[in-house]
Amino acid sequence: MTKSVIPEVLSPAGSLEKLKVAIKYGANAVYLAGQKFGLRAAADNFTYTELKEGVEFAHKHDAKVYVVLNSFLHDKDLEDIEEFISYLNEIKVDSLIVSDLGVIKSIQQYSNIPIHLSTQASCLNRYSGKLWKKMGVERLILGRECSLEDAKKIKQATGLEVEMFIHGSMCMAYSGNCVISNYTQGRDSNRGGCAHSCRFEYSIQFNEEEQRKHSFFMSSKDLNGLRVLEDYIKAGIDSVKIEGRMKSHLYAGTMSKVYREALDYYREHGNFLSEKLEQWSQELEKVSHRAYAPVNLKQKAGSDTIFNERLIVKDQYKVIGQLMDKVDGEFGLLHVRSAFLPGDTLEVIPFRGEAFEVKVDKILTLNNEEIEKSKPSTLVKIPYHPQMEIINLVRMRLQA
Amino acid sequence: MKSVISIDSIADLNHAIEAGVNEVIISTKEFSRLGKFPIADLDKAIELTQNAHTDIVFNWDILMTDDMFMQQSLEISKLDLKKFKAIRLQDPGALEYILETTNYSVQWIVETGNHNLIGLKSWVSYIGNKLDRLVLSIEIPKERLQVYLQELSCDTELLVLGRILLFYTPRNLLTPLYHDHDDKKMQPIHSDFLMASGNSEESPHKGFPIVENRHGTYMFHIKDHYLMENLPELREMKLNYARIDLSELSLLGQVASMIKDGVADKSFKDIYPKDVIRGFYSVNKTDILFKKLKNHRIQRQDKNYRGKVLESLKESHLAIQVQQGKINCGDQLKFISPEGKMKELEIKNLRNIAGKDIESLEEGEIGLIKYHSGIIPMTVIYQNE
Repeated sequence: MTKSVIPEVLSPAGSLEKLKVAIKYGANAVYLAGQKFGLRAAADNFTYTELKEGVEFAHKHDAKVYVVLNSFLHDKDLEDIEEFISYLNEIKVDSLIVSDLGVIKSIQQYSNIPIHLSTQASCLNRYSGKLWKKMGVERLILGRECSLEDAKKIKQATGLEVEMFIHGSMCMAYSGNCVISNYTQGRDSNRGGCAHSCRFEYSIQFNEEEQRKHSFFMSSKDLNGLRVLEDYIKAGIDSVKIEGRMKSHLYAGTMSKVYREALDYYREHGNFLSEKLEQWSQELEKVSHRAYAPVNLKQKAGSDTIFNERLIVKDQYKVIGQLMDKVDGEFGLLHVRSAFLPGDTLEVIPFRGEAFEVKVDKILTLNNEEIEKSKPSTLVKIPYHPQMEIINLVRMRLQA
Repeated sequence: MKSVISIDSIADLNHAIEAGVNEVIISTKEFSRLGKFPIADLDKAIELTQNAHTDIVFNWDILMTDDMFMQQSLEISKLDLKKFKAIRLQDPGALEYILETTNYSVQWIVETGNHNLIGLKSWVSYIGNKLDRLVLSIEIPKERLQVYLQELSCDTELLVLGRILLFYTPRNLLTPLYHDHDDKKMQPIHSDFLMASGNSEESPHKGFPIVENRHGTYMFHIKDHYLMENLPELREMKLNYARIDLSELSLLGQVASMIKDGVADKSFKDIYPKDVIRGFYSVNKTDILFKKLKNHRIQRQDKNYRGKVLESLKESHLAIQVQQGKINCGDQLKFISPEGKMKELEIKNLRNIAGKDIESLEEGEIGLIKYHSGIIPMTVIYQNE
C-alpha cells in the first residue's frame, strides 16, 4: 500500500508573536509579510529584524517561513524589491508567495528562493498549472473555487506541489478579480487595501416597482475543512492553509493545534475514526467565526454558503490572555486581554492535548495586591499549574 | 486608432458594421462571462463580417475550475474558429490550452493586475508570435500607459467607454433573493440574465448594476468609464484599439467615428445617458491611504529597539518585556507611546517578576521599572543613542 503523504499545516503569522504562537501550537509552516508587497496593509507585518528573528525561531522549531509578496505591483512598487528579495535570500526564508508575473521575474533575477503561486492568481485548472510551472513556480496555491477533486487532477497533471485553503474567511469574488475598494474607497484591494465591501449590507431591487430587499448577499460563510481532511490527504494536497493574518493569537494557536493534532492522528492511525474528531470540531467552534461551510470543497458553492448576517456566530468563549512567564510552583503570569473575576475558571490551552482548567480564587497583581477584577493590558498572577508553559493561550467559557 | 465592441446578436452585429466599428467580439453565452450571442449564429456572423471587412474575434473569457475547464475545452475543440482573427482569453489555463493545441492567435486580457512593464513584457515574450494583442488594465495611469505603449512590441487595447467591472464570482448571488429555491434540488437555469440594482447600506454608493448568469455574478460601477475626451492623447500615445461597452447602441456610430478620428467632442458627454468617470486614468493613488491603516507609532523600528511596555500600574511600576537585545540598570531608554508621546528615562532599578532586584533583563524576560506618568501599555522602548 502506498503511504499517504500528510500535508503540512500552514498557519497565518500577522506578527512575530503570532508566528511563535502558531509554531508552538503545531504549525509546520507560517506565512507572513514584510512591511510592503503583501495584501494586508493593516496587519502589523514584519520589520527586517523581525523577519530574521521569525525565520530563526521557525527553523529552530523545524518549521518553514513563506513570505507573501502577492500584491499586484505597479512599476514604482518594484523599485524597492531587489533589496527586499536579497535580504530574504540572506536570512533563508523558505519560499515566496507571489501572484504577479512581474514579481516572479524579479525574484528569479535576484534569487533562487522557491516561488509559490498565490491564490490571488486564481489558478483553477490543470492547464493554468502547466503554464505557471513553465514560469518557474514550484507550488500552486489553488483558487478557492477549486474542489478537492479539481486539486487532485491539477496535482496529477502538473506534478507540482499543491496547497489549498482549509479554514477561514473566504473572498466571494475570484481572487484578484475584485476592485470594489479601489473605486469606492480609493484603496487598492490587490495591493493590501481591501475594505471588505463584500461584508457590507446592500439593498437589492430587481425592478423599480419592487421593494428593496436587504441582504449581505456578497458575504461568504467561513471555510471549515476539518470534516473532509481525509479527502485532502487522499487528493495528495501538500499543504493545508489556514486563512487569517489579521486574526487573533487565539485563532492562530487554536487552528494550528487542531489541524496539526488531527493530521498527527491520521499519521498514526490512518483514519479519523475517533471521538477526537468531535472534540477538534468543537475547538474550532470556540474561536470567533462566521457560520462554517465546506464552500467549494466537495461541490460548487450554493446559496447555503452565503452568510446573510452582519455578526459573527455568537462566541462560546472569550480570549482571556496569554501566559507570559511563570514561577514554578508559585504562579503563572498572565497578560490580560479580557477582564475576568475572582472565582472564574479559566482554560489554559496547552501546545498538545486537551485544555486544562485553572480555578482563580483570587487575582493578584505583580505587587501581590488582591484585585476585584482583572483589566485588559495588565499583568496578573494566576494559580500555578504544572502543565503551564510560556506562550500558552488562556480562554474562558461564556455564560449561556 | 480602431474601435472594438462586444456584441450579443446578429442585429447588434449589423448595427456595429453599419456604425463602422473595426472589430467585433463575439461573446457567446456558453464561453463568455457576459455573452448572449447564440452559438448557432457563428457562421452567419463570420459571413457578415467578411463581407463588411470587419474583424471578428471569439471571446472565451470565463475563468474555469478544472472540471468546467475540461468540458469547455472539449467544446472549444469542436468549434472551427480559424476564420476568427483571434480568440480572446483571460484564464491562464485557456491561454496554455490554446497555445498548446491550436494555431489561433490570442488576445490576452491582462485587465486584472498586470500593472508593471516587467510582467507585461513577460507575457508578450511567452505568447510569442501567436499574440494578437494585450488588453490592458484601466487602473494604469496615463503616465505609465504612455511608457507601456512605447515599450510593448504588440498591439494594445483599452476600455475607453463603458461599464467598469468591479466584482466577478462564480457563485449565484442574486438567485436566492429572486425567489425561494433549494439549490440542492434545482440548479438555477439562466435562460436570460438576472439583473438588479444594489445600494450599499454602509457607504454612500447607490445603484450598482448587478448581473447574474450561468457563469456567475458580476457587479459594475455606478458610473461608466469615460476616456472620450482623451482620445487625441491616446491616439498620440499610439493605442491601437479602443474598446466600447455600450448597453444601448444608438450612439455607436458617433463613438466609432470619434475613435477613428481620435477627436475629443466635449459635447458628447451631454448626450451620453449615464454618469461617467475617468477612473485612474489621470492618476492612481490607491496605495496612499495605506499608511493610515495602522498606528505607526507602536510599530517597531529595528534600530535600537529593545521591547515594549506590558503594564503600567500607577504609582507602582511599569512592566516591560525585552524583545531585542538586553536592558541594563543605568541604560538610557526612549519610550514612545501609542499616542506619540516620547519620554527619555534612565533605568535606575530593575526587578524581576518575583520582586527581586536584578542588574539586567535578557531577551524575552519581563521586568519591572519605576512608574512614570504618560507611559502606557503598548509603548515601545528604544535604547537612547
